[in-house]
Amino acid sequence: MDRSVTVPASVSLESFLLAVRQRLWLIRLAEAARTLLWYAGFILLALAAVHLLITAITRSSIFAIVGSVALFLLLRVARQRPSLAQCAAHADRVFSGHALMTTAVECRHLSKSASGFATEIVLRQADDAAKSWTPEISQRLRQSHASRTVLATIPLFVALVLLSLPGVEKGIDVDRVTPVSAAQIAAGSGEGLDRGTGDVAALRRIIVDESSANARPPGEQQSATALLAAQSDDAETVTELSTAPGQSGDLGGVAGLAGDDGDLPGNAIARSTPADNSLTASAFIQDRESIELQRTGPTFAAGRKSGTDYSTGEPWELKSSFLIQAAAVPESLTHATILSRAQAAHARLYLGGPGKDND
Amino acid sequence: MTEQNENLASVMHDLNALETQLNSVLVGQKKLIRQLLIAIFAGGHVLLEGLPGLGKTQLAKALAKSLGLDLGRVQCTPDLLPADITGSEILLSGRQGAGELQFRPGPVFANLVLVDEINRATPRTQSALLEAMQEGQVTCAGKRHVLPEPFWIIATQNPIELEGTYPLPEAQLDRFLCKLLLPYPAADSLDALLDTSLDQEPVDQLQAVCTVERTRELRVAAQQVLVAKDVRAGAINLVLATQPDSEYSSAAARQHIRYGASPRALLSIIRAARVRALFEGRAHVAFEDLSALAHPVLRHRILLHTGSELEGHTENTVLDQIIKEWVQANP
Repeated sequence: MDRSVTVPASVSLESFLLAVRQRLWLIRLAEAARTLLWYAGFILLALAAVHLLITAITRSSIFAIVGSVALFLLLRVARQRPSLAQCAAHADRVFSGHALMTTAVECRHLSKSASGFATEIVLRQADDAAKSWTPEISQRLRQSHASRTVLATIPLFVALVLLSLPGVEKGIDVDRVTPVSAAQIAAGSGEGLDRGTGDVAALRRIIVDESSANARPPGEQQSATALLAAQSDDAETVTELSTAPGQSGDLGGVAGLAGDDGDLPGNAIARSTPADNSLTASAFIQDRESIELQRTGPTFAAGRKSGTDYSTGEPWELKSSFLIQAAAVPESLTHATILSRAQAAHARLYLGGPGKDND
Repeated sequence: MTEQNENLASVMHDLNALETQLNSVLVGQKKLIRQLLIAIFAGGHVLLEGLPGLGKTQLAKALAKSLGLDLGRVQCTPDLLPADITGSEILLSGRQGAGELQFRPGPVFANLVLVDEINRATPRTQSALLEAMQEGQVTCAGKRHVLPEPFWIIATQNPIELEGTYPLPEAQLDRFLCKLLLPYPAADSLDALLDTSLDQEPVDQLQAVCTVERTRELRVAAQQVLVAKDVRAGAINLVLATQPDSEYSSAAARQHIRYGASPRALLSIIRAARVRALFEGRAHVAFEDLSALAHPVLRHRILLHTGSELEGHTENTVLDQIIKEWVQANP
């Protein structure tokens, strides 16, 4: 056997491998994009959960988090430049090369010291194969990754849906909120409420669920229906309430309610259910009683008050809890005040700024 | 065509001519003949297992004749002694009447030795072959006697007769590069057999295709076939996949195998893969070569749990699972 080997110039092999590298890099970039979509989907889901249950998350922070992940993935792809050996192995897989390219790449570096007939043969065969395979690179590599494209649409769809949700909320026209009539509320289901998005936007910010306790004075227990019906003429718009004195303009969260005709304060129920836009309100009201709310969680505020009814002498206790959509909660939510009918035409619940008495 | 390409072409031509000639003698066993030639040119010994009458002895004879090799033959029986294989020193009378010990070589001193029904020989006799198979020499009366080069052993055994047989120990099995199974020929092959062998012995008609020197050149050519690092890694993974305690072991190995393939198996499969690549017209080894040769090279090197054997698992079925996993990992 001839021990000296003249290695043929393998321009085709080099250009073929470089073309494969370029395609492989693009494929990895596409895979990174797909990964990013998946990550973005999960991140948005997680952030939505955090936003609803723990604390408000601004849109800019969402973009920052997703952007950081994207940057990380891009940097990782940029750092992991496919080596020629990896390109050769990939080409062998895609073109059924029987490890020809892999062997040829190793031969290329060892050729000067290599001996035997095999080195030259492998390089020549690889060169010939490279010439015939080069026109098919794009097609073959695309075929080998085609199946993953379908999968990529799943996170894309999820991400798009999630990304569209804030847009829907932003599109709500708060100014279009219509007054809530007591009669409508009295219907119980809230069907009389304006089902426009404005009501929902304003009302769903706060769900007032006042569960008056067992010690509520019996004489003062009037139905929300009666109370609100009595106030139907004076009913204020939710918009007015939401921009009540002492509150910042972007602070939502008002549940309007009314006292009764007599001296005694009454009950009112305020409850917003975004699903059907209904509103009911409830609050046990004494004359000029206010309840100081404490934040019991990122999206909850609760208040509790007890006393003795001045007419019957029976003890009463008022518990109020507020479930508040995180985005609408100001950092300093602390107070709610209940006004009796003796003081104002309406009993109102205000949520206001720090330390302010929002009556 | 360059000189190197001519080299490859001539190697392929000789190998194909040899294969064609053997196929004409033992019809219907193309796969077996290919594997036998691979083992021979990889420099390994072959264990042929098959039922009586399938042509094991005829195949060995045909191979020796086609390669122009000396054929030695040992018919193993329980009373066969090691010296009957290796040879022994005998006392010869000298010219002045003085006795002189002289080594008389046994049948193992041939290029190709057919050890027929090796499992009928006692373990002591079987072990006499160990040194010959591994080191290419025998030691008699403290003297080392080198065996001729090239040297191959083709041993046959009958899988159905267990009475009066001594199964080969693992150490000896490991020294065979391949264990080949001789299946029944198909119907059309039997018809062709009648044409070729009814009234004549086809082996007698054979002419040598290669000389001993050319046989050596073919072996050297096989040694020059390139093995890429990825392929080497694949071979290593394949061997380790059969070892139940290895971190690379396959699920089938952990479940069914008591002892896996040895490092000698790795050498054997790479050597065999090189020859297979030449048969396929390549000067480099591919993953396909490894998977194609996994059965003959590994089947006698793994030991199954008794429970698995009782459940009906065999070395071949377990290897099927291992190779399937391995192919998925090395697409």
